[in-house]
Amino acid sequence: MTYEHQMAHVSFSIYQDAEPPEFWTNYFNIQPDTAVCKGDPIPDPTGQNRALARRTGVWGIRSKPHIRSDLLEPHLRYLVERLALPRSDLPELLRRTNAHMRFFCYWYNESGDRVPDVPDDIRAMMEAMGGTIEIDEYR
Amino acid sequence: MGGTELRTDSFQRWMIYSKDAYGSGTIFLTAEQKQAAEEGKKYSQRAYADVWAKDAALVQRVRSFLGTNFHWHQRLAKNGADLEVIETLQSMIRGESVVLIAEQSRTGGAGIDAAPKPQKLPSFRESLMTSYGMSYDAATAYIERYNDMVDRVNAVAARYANGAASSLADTAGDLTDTATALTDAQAFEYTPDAVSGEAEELAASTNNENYAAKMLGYDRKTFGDMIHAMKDYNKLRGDDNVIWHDNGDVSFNGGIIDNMHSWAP
Repeated sequence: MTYEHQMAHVSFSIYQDAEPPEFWTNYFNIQPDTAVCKGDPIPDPTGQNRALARRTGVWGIRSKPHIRSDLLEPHLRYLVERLALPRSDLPELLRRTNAHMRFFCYWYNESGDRVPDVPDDIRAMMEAMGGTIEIDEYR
Repeated sequence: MGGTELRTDSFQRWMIYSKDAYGSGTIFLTAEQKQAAEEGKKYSQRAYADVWAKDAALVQRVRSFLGTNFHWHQRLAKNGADLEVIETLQSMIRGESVVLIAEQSRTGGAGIDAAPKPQKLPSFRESLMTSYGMSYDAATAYIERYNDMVDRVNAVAARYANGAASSLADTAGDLTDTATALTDAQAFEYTPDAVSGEAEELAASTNNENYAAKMLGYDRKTFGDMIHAMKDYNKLRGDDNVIWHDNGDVSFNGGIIDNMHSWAP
């Protein structure tokens, strides 16, 4: 697979340490792109075999392999549909597991004149469920 | 007095002279000549002997120069290994018995016999890119890091050379300490205020993502993607400041949380 730069893409991630990643795999009934537990070893590419460990549990999926668009909306809509959001029991699960849930948006803006397009309905839905939408901008 | 062409890069032709020839027999060099010689010294110190040694024509010119001007090097000039020839030349430039001078190609260079137009030789960057398959950015990062390292090593060497009191054992001890510190995770907890010695300085790090991209040999777009993935994985916000280290390590709040090379596409 060749690497191709896209000016926008989005990840959906849930960070918490109360439940193993399989819990969210079962809940959403989809295979994650990211599934780690706090304390999982980090391979040491420097060859020093240092005992490095993951600082937080993460379960997540990414839009990047599936959507090709320089705008955020298609990426967000894809993830919303894939995750079948909104879900009425999700806010309570997030509270119980003390989780942080977010759409984390890669936004390439070297020209400086691109305005991130997050649709109001998705923003409102995410807020209602207790999650956030964060723009990670690169110039 | 005629010099010998060492190599020509995109900017100038570099000529080597025996010190006597360069000073035209006078004992003292002019301030201008001294400065030119100093620049040549730096250029030579920053060059990779093994890269020069791969350039057969360059090595041949150096052999001929050493054999002609320094009769005690005739054996080396004839039979020495390519790398040994180049290292000897670099050592002589360092010791000032040989002077390396940049000759602007548009002037003939005052007092220098016009030499036949040299064959175009690859620049150092081109050598890295062709011989080692590096990208343009990776070569830039390599050159910058190498230059910084050479400056520091020279500074350390100069300090020991000047310090009459320091024994060889002290030197060895210091170098061991440096080596130990470099493999020690503690050394990565770098803060500008805490700089107290060479070990911390050698653990190069930055919180600037563009500089980090260069340091680690990635183009900016690729590196942005890598940072995003790394931040996603580590529950960092877009505006959380991390520090990148020259071995790829990422630290946040004083601890190593990841390594950027794990995120290379």
